[in-house]
Amino acid sequence: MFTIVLCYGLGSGIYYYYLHEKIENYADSILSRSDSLIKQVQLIDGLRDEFSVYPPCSEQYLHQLRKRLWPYPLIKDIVPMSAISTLSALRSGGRLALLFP
Amino acid sequence: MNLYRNKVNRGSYVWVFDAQIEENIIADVLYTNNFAITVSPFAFQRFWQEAEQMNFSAIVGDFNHKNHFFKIGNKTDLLEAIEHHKTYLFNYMTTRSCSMYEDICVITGTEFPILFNNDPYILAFLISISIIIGFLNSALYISITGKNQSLLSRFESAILNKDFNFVYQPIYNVETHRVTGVEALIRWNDSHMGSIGPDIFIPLAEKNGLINKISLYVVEHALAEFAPILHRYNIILSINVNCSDICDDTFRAKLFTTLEREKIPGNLIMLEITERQNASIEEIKKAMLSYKDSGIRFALDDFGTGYSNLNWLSLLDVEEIKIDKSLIDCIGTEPSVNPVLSGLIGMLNKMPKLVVFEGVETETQYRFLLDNIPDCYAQGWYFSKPLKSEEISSLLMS
Repeated sequence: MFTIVLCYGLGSGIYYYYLHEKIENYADSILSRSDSLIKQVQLIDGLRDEFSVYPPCSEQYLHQLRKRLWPYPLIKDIVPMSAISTLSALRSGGRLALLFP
Repeated sequence: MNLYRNKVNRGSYVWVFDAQIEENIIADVLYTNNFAITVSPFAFQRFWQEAEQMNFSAIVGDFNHKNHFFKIGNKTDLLEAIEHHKTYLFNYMTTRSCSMYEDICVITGTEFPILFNNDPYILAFLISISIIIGFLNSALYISITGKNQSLLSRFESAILNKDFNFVYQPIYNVETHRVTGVEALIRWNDSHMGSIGPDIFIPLAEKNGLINKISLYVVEHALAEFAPILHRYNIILSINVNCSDICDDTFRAKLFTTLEREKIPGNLIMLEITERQNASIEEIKKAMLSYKDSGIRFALDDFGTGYSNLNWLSLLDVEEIKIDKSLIDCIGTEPSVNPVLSGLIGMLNKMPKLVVFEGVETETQYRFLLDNIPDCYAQGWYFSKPLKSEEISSLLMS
């Protein structure tokens, strides 16, 4: 009986340590992913001048957009605010204009 | 119609959660002054999978956790309640991971499964391990106690069956190189366990209260065995005894009876007093008086070890002192102990007692004794190893 209690205690201790490590890593990973996402958003926002040389929703604009968006895997889509109320917005962003705060 | 679930203004951007972009298209969108950026639906997907597999929950909010941005997992309400002290669960563990720079804090939590969620495999594994460890422990315990018991019982049987034998180590006069006496040493050769040294069975006998039996055995059998040699040659037989033996009436009676039976004069017997730590000097002095008429002599064994040696020397009427091997071992090895040795030699030279050095093993040690204390006595492998009684006879004859 003593060895059963001892083994259970030991097993629980080890499992507690394992679970605690696991959940700590889990929290760190979520934080790291959130950080990365925000950094990517800020980087893209810093590229606004690159796009401003083209008319919004023009062929070159969309090409440049697609090209610049490629290295950021956490970003699905990007729409310039100036185009939100235009046809481009309807094509690319749908109801984004309505969501805009 | 709700177009989004939550919206957080973070200064340089606005984070809109679960925004309905199109029919059946829901995603997070981040607005900056220049862009509306849609977050990939796969950005946090793996955390959802992990949350479901491990039963984890996570809440992402600002650093002070006043605002919650989004949640992952199926039991986030419980985590939120615990985090805000609205409820308590003793087996619920939480952790925090925060970034002050981005003003984001992730709180995660999960329930620690009591009895491993009753997982039959884990429980069966633990019970099996417990049984195996318990079994091995018991086996080890039984083996150790069994071995000790068997050694003790074999020892007791050896006393009853008289399975001990004796060897005798000659004691030499250093100057003349003549044998003047021998020290009786008991040996136990068990039929199953082989030769068992006195360093094992003497402590065993002491621990189990059998040491007096051993002393009686030595007196009876060593005297009987060595009696013919004592009759023929004028040498002294030394026997190791405890203080308790000397004070014991049974021991004294046995010694006198054996001497009488074997017709050995008492002055050929030297009782070497060992193990003095727990003895009372007064009792020993009193007991020694009862041996005086028999002519039996006394020696102080292992002089130089333990404590109170000088005290014992000054208070007891002993004829001989035996210097412990540890002092002899210092000769020729440790220059720093030379002053100590010189002092000791000075003291021993002035002493009107026989001085016997034990454990002399090298020519250097012998030469040292010859040069400094020529009238002393010595024993050890340099002179002779312990011999059987027949070999002692041959040695004395030659």
